[in-house]
Amino acid sequence: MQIRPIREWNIIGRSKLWLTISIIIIISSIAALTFNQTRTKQPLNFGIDFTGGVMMRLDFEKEANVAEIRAILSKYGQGNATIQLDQRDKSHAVIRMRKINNSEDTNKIITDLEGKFGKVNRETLSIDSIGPTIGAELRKNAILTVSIALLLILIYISVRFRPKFAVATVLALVHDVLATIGILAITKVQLNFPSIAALLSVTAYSVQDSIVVLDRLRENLKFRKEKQTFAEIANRSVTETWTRSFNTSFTTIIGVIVLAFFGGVAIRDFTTILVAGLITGTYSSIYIVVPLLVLWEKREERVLRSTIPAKIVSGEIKEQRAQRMEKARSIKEEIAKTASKEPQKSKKKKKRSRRR
Amino acid sequence: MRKIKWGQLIVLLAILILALWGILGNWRSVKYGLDLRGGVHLVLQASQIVETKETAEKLEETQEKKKEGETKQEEVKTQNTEKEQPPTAETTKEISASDLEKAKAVIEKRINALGVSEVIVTISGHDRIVVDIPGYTNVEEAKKVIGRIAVLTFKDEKGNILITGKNLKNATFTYQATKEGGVREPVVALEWDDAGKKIFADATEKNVGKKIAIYLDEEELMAPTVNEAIKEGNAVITFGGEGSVEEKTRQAQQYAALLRGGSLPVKMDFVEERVVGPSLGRDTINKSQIGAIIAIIAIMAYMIIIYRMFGVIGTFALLLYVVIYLGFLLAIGTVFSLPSIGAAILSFGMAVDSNIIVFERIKEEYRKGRTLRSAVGSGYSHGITAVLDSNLSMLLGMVVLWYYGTVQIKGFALTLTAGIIAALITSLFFTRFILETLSIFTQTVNEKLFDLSSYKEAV
Repeated sequence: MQIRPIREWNIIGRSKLWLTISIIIIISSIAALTFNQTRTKQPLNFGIDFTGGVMMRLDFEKEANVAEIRAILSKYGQGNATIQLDQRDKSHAVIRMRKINNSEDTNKIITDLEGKFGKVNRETLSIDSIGPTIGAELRKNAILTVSIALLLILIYISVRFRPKFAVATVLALVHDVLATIGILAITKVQLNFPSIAALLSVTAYSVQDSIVVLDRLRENLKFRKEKQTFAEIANRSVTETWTRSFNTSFTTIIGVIVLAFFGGVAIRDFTTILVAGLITGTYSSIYIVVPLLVLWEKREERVLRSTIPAKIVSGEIKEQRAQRMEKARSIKEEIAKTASKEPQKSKKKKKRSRRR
Repeated sequence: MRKIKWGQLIVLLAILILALWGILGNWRSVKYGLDLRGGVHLVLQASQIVETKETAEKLEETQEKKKEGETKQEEVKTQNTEKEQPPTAETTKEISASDLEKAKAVIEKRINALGVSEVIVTISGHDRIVVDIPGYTNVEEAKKVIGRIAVLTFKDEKGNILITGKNLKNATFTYQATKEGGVREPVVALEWDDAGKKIFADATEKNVGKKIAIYLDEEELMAPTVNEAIKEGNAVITFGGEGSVEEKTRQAQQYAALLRGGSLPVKMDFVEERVVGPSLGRDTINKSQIGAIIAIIAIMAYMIIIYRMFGVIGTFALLLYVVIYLGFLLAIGTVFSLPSIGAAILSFGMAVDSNIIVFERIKEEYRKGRTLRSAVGSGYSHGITAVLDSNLSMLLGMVVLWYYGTVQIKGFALTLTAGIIAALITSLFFTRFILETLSIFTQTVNEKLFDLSSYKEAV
């Protein structure tokens, strides 16, 4: 079997495919969010950090059972609390309920539960009790902070690269965040404070990934040969940087996945968000940022042409069409050749076609 | 022939020594956040003291009373005058910084009585106080101790608030001579601030012969009768009736302490409470340490498999990175929490990114037919823009997060920033130095060892 070298991939030629995939991903994300909204009245599984309320993790001496816990909770008006028992160790319970006005009730509940299932291990206990204003503030603060950070990054890319690059990067970023949120909606990972940090990492990483590709595009554009179209240069840049984009992300994903396996429950939700975000971030830097730029550039070429006298336009169109035809032919040839012949020969062929 | 850049090596060694010093000097005092260490985390929300009455009639009366108080306060011109508005439905009024400072001081004093060490009380934002008690799990006890700093109010017989604890400068237990004889009598002496003297004088004048009840939150502490208008503002509360002197003394001492503690300028509510059992956190620390080590080994293995000899260099770079990173984090006294562990792992992954970018670039340049030396040189000169731009844009984002973020976000941003800087140092100094030195001494490269290929042989 022979794997075709990356540098001969035609990624940009399938721009519309990639963008369609992304649009489908975004639509399914939004669908998942609306589905959750209608079913549970919450688009995502917001934890108490966001909603306010009380969450207790308790390790009893004996095995507990949901019905009996609920019976005790009902006495305190918390009959509709969420109660989860560990599948393997039924003495470990996670209880989530509304904010208790009288905080001494928490203690009473625990004492009541202890009467049923034995003493709660104080060493491994965890109780979180959050007021509703904190959550609202947390959300507001997070959104504000991220917006400012993104704006600055946008300005940075505009200055160091081109404004268009910045816009494409941010669009890709929005895609990444939406896709990640979609995955969170489907997997119902509980969002708490560390989740914000994870989402921030995803955005930061997405920008970093895009810049690696954009840097090559910028460089190749600087040494742009005559008659080379933007799409050609873009495809070259993407294929040239494909391996490093993959490897830089993959090493990070390795780290995160290992942490997910060994890091314990507390870290698992955090890592789920990271892995989802890293994958979409890598995908978007290659398959969204550059295709978007190519489509944009093509559109502008078209607009430009419509303002130029008809004669030149027709000439240019003919030339372009001829170019495109030739390019298509050479790509077809390459595909046919690489399928049958040695890789070295295809390299030679590639060289020739590039010289053109 | 190009010379070895000894300057780079010296800079590198200096950084390494600093990092090692940072690690060894602070190894024993690594700080963990409450989520890892276990403990009680409480957030208190301050709000202006606003009375809630059952009937609208009473509310109106109170408003009138308040307005009177307000005009009088304006005369004395205290800094809180403007904030003393008639009570509206909600408690959304501004809290002054000095009120919050005062509240913080009271809370600190209270918790220290609990006998736990290293309590951290901080002001967060403009109306919150955060209390962190590491290694402590009895949240109810902690809340009881802090909770006693409830709101102190003085009310007339109709239930109108005359004055609050805000104006109470001090309440002390002392003895005074009784009128009847020379026997000492235990009393609680109240000392008001300038604004308070005026209000209290006015209040006592209106209520001569009546009772003024002293409330701590909703609980009535006592209701002494006003014997006369207290013009000078400072009053004593005597304890008449039966009972031994000892009993009265004890009572007076207790009330004085309560009044002192209760003289909080603002109302504090618990809006956030977290308790983490100590071994739960310890478990997370252990697991994430093991996770981090395995993650580093896995990344190293991948690097060596993909980049062979370059990967080996990258592996050493990663080790050096870990040393510099830890040294930096420990030297600045970072508090490790869950988000910052995440940031650290993310940093490990990103630390090799700069090296991967440069290695790929070198391979690419070599493929074009350059010698290793020239490939290394141009690999760096070309690759560096990508490395710098991606890292600088990230730094920019992190600075914003650090500046605007909440405490935990700050920790996250700081950990990631340290990671970015450490990654830049290792890749721009260490890897570069090794590669350049290597390329000077190697005339012919073992292409297989470095996974290099060039067009020369292909053509």
